[in-house]
Amino acid sequence: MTPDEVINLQDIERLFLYDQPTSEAVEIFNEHGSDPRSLFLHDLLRWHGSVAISNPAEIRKRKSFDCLLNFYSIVEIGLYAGYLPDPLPDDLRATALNHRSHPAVSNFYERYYPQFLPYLLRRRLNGEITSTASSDANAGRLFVDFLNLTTAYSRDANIRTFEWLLDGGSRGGIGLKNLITLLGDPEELARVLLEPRRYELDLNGATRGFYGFLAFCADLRDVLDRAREFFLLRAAMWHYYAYWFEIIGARVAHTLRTLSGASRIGKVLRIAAKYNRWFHQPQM
Amino acid sequence: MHFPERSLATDKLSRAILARNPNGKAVVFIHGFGGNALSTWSKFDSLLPDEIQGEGHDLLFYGYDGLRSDMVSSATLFLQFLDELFSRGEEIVNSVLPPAAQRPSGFAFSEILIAAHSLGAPVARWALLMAHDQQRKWVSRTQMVLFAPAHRGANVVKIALLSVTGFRAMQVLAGFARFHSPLIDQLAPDSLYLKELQARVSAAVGNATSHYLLAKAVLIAQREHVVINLPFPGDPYPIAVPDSDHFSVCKPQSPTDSPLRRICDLL
Repeated sequence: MTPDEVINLQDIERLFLYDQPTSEAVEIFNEHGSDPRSLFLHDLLRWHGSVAISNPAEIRKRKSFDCLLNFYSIVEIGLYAGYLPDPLPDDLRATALNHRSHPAVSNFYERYYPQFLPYLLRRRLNGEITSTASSDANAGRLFVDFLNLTTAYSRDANIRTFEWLLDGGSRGGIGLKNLITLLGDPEELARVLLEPRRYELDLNGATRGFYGFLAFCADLRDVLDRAREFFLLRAAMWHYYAYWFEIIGARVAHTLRTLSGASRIGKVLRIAAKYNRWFHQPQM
Repeated sequence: MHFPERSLATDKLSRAILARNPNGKAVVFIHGFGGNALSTWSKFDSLLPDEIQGEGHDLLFYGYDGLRSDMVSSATLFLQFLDELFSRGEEIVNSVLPPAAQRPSGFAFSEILIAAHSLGAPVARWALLMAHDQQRKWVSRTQMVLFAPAHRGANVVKIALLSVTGFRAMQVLAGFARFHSPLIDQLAPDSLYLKELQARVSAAVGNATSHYLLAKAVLIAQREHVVINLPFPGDPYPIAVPDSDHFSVCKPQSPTDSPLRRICDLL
């Protein structure tokens, strides 16, 4: 492991493990993870279609597992970029494999809410697949640009609100239909954006989140365009956001088309239509 | 190469892209009306670290409420930020770096270049004026480069919607907005805040042609519809950035674009 790789790994752990709400998932796993049939873990990490997830504590704990999985996804992408040591240090390797292999956890990210990158990392750690890390410094730079974009995206609370509506949720009595209606009324749109009434704060956030999401799509496309020659890295970066661009991609595309059609300032919002092309996954 | 972007422990609105091989110098970016610490300066975060001149520099993207805050309040907060950087640089930086990349004991910032956009220009100059009046020693180790500065006035309502959505066509809606912000008056061409700043800076600078209260370079947009492009007394004559508008003037698209080149020239 080179000194740079030591620093990079420490830095990624700091940014995506310790500075994120992952500690609860780690604690839960330490308590229940030794039992592969742990009812607690299987119940907590269930598919929401079987029993709805509405308890705030449960939502928080599941989010903690999401963050932990995000960290492992980032590690997997960093390995393609040649940014992190390959093989990973033994302690991280053992912990990651332990987390990834528990049936409740693997069901969570492989069956109920499929995520390709944690799955790849598990197979890599099991020695089932190997991949050659890029030795080109440009791959590392692109990975840093991707991390910067991901950090900005994940801390934008307005984008979270928009995503929640997109995913069929509602907030403060506001749903996606309210947002579509608002975008069709320029004067109301301007007022809600600049001078929202107290009860319109969620709608204000969702509207800003919509614009933030479009801007994010353009920035991500820019990073992926620049990563053309690094096929695996490019595909891995794309997969980090596959939930929005592939799994519920059709719904995202439909919504963006509807939003652009609803708006009388169409030129701007029709930019959304461009994102259809996002729903085609790059080749591995 | 630099580290990925991160928040500063002392200031959650600001972002830092820290150098792997620091030279004790930093560029502090300050956004304008309704801007965002990072997105106002889009692509500086990826292009500047690749430049030889930018290699050892820490890039700090200062964040503040540029939509509704009073101009002088924003300046005092920015002054505090600069004070902290010069007095506690080692602590601020090391608190967000991994153990193996900690800066050595005694690390301190020796020079800071302030890049300011739009409203950020009068905010930054007010902050430096306050530092000058309060005899902060560090103030002589600062320089300013300004992008589409609003120091001679701006039409805030015109940019309000655009700034919160980031989409240019939103400008057409601005006339509908019943928008209230102290900055509407404070950035008006006859603003007391701007006239006072001009008078105080002139008095402080005297006949000097080079002074930290004067900009080292001023870049203006070719298609400017928001700020008045008249020069601030004592500043160098502005350089127009071809094909730019008020918002794109501080967003280089390639390594050869003049916004990036001007900053590199000053590093």
